[in-house]
Amino acid sequence: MLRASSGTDLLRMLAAWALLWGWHALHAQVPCWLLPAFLLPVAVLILLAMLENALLQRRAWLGMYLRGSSGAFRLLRGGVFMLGWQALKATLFALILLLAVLRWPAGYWLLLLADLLLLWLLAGVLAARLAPHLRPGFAPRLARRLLAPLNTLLCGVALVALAYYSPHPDFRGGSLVQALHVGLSGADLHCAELALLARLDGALEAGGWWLAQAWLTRPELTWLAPLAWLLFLGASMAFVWGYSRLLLGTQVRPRELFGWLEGEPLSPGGRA
Amino acid sequence: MTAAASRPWFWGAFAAGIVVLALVAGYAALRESRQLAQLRLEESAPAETAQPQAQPARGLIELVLHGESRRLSPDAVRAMAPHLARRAAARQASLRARLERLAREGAARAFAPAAAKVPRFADWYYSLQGEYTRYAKAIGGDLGGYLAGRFEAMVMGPADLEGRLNRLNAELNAELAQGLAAGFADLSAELDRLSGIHAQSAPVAAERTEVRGRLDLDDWLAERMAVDADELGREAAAALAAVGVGTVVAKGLGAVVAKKVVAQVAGGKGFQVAVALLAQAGAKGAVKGGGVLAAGAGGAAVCSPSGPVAVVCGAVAAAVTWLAVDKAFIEVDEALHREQFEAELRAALAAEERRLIEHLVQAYDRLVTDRYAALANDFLRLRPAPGVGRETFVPAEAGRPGGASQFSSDFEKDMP
Repeated sequence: MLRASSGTDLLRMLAAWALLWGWHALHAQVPCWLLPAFLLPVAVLILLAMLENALLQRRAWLGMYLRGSSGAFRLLRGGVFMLGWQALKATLFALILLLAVLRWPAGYWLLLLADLLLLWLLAGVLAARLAPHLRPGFAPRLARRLLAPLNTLLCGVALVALAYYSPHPDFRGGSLVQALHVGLSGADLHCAELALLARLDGALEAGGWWLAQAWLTRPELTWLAPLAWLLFLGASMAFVWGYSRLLLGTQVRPRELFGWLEGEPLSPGGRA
Repeated sequence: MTAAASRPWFWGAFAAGIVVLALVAGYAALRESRQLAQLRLEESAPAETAQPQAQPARGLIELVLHGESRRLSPDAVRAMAPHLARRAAARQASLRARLERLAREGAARAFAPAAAKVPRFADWYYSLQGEYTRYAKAIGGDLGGYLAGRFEAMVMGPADLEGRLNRLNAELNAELAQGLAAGFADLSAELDRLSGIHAQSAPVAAERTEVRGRLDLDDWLAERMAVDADELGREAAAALAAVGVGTVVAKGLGAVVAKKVVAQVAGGKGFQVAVALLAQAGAKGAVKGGGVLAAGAGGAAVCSPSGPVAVVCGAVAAAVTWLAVDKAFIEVDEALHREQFEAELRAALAAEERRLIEHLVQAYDRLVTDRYAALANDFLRLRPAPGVGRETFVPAEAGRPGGASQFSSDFEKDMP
């Protein structure tokens, strides 16, 4: 059923945000067996968004070059392999997002909540703007497809600006070992296996900050230093992509996607 | 449920299955590697008997001391750190105090004989020989340099100031080496005692014993306690140069300080002789002029009639008069100014002695502090100092003046 952004969509997005916040608040008490309660929903939502995007791209490509009755069309339109591959990627990105969430300060949560509202508004506006120009059914989907990179960019820029003016662990004057020690000691997870990944992530983060603070604070860099800092901070915001997909995935209807995998047309009256 | 209606469930179950299998596979891989690593650790470390009420820990620190491996929780290491810090601080203060006392006493012993030789120099100064050699140097050479050389030859040389100061330097280096070695040995024993107590009182559970950090204290202490005398000597020379004493390595402390003493004395009021010399010469000339004339008259009367004998007589009379007047002036000068002259020379020596003590104390303080700071930094590898990791770094302010790090490497401040 085709529709623009509704209040239900907003509630779903808020639920996804709350799930992440719940993980952030409770991660120290969550045992390993309870981890899927957080990881699975996040992975599934990211999967839905990625799968929708992959199917749209694949069908557009196929529709451009192949006949609908061709066996190759049926073989390549997307099925088990596409779903399996997207599921693996979604699981990985969900894990990265859950590890990144552990380090978010309070300011990040407020900004991401604001981004959620912006995304909800933009999804409706964009779908309404695109609808007169597109075949029936494609407006919300294409709106989501365009919003993923757009929201990643906007949210990323906002987070970089926030991080640029916020305090961070100070490693100047300390050795790399001390910085890594801080990174290793920051993650306090009940699940030992996830703690290993969290410590690795923390160590990588601390090591990166140590290097950046050692090199980008030199006076001779002058105007290059702020630019270098913005690039460094931008590179550490990769999780924003996963966050955008997570929110957009709440607006995807799984039945529609599974129907596409079955060969149903993307739009009423369209090609299978 | 029709086949068409059940298809979405198929895809949903398929997707969920992929995700779940991926998570299970990842979890199994992590758990497997962790258990294998734990097995290897248990095989290489002494067996730990499980005790009731063992405390679970996340991440341990392994200490190797005297060939024995002990795994302590980060809390235990944190509890040890203040005790070690206080003990190290006490040792450091004690060593500094001993070195300072040695420097003061040694410098006093070195300079005392030189001060005792000052009257001998004054004797020469207030003599005809002294005066005329000063005249000759004033006319044809470097008077200041000559006087400094005489002072060195008559006061510092016989007092062996250079030799005494070199021996003092060697004594300080030996005391520093011994003090450092004893201090580190004491800290090693204390660390052994404390880590033993913590390892026994808070045993860790067999599970979840990932070792977060490892410190081989045997290697580390061997390196710290092996204080090389030659290396220490070079460090001491560098430290003295850093506080303005000079290049001790090539010449030795004695030679450097002796030169400074001479410069100090030569610059003093007692040696401002050029002006005094000229002033005295003018006065003496006026007296001698009259005296010469009188002597000439007397000589003519004594040496009677004429001829070459009279010329010789006259010359001799002139010389005698000249010398007599000079001698008289010297004695008057000595009576009036000798005490002050000697006092000024002794004051110059004392000032140089005080400066030397100050520089020695500074230089050796720095050596002791550096060595203990290196020890503190190694301890800090077990636990990051509160300064490191504190949320005080703002990228936007990093390049501005005053955006300095709050991190302090001072051992006493960083340990709670």
